[in-house]
Amino acid sequence: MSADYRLDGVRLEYRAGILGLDAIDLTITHGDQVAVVGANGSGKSSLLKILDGLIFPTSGSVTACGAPLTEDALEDPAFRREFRSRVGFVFQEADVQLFCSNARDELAFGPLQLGLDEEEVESRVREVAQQLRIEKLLDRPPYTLSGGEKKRLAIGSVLTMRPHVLLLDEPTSALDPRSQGWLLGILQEWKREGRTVVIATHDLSAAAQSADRMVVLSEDHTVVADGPPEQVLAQRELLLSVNLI
Amino acid sequence: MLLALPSATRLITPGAVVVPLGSLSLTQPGLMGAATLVARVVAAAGFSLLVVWTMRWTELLRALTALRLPAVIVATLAMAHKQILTLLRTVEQMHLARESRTIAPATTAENRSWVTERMAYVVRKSMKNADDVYDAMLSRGFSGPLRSLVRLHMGVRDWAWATTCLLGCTAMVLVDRVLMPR
Repeated sequence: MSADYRLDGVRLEYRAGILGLDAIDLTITHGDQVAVVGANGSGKSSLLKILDGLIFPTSGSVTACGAPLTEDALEDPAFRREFRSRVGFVFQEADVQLFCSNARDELAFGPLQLGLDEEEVESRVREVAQQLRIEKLLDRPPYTLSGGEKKRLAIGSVLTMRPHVLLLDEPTSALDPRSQGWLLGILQEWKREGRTVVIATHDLSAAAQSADRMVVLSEDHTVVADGPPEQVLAQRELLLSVNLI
Repeated sequence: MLLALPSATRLITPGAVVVPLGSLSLTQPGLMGAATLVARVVAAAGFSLLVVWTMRWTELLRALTALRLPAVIVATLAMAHKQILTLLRTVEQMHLARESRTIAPATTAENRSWVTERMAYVVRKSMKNADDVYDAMLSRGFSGPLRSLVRLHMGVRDWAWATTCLLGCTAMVLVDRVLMPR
């Protein structure tokens, strides 16, 4: 299997000198279902943002699909188009992700930015709306939707770009049990389709159900465990030390 | 009205004094000018509010796109509107959270301090939200120009209404300037 991502010695420091991530070595192969777990502030969201090329490490290197993922590389329109169409990021707060005036525009935003023709975009919007059962919401402003509907729309806004890699930040947070069940079903579907999925969460139960690999970040912002969920979850002392249980 | 008031003084607009206040006396042409300015602003603001309050926001944005307003301006308006609503919800929740924990009434100074501190928090939150929204846009391929699916065109009824409005305005100007000149 080819590697979607390779991170070598990644260290991230914020402007105020605050450490975000330290000594991260990670390889994510195509089709992996990875759950990045850790306590609040351990660096899960920062790691996802690095994987999406939104922030860049202070030191160390990130390779995406064989090419270095750097600020300069993303300045190249061809690389940016290829990378953005390949990787989709669902933000933790749906309100952040939903910035258009109605749900239809929200679903169309990504494919339109990628330069697809309007017929193709409209066809994708219809297809994804049907798949996520949000057809009736298409003309509504996103801020009028419920938490679960917003999450569906946020996921839909990424799915219309047909990404091979999906990054989800705390996907089950603020969802009722029914919506959580629906989301776990979607994750299973993506697994069957062979998409690479990386979710950041502190919900161990959701992580165990949706991933076949678990990466644990400590409060020192380093990776302290990486393996199948059943193996990781069996290490009670480790989970206690990183404040996950 | 306050902004227009200086123009009503003898210092700016000389003329017959109506309200004597020394060098700041209000003159008749000054008051007329200020009143005209205020009336125009009220009419313009009133019509703008009428349009905003009697139309769905999404329809209004579509109409602005149809009127060839650049997509980036329409998108900025849409985001600003959403951001204001989101922040208003935050402010309401902060107020309610404080109310629910308030037993003894706070002093005016305490209230002022709380409001100032919360205002600073809302500004910081707003700036963080703006950064996050920009990241979300970048993540979905935004690189500068915005494209939209909205394709509205002027129909026969639109042209008829626009022509009626134009003729009505022209008639009013003609009455004001030609038939009833000052």
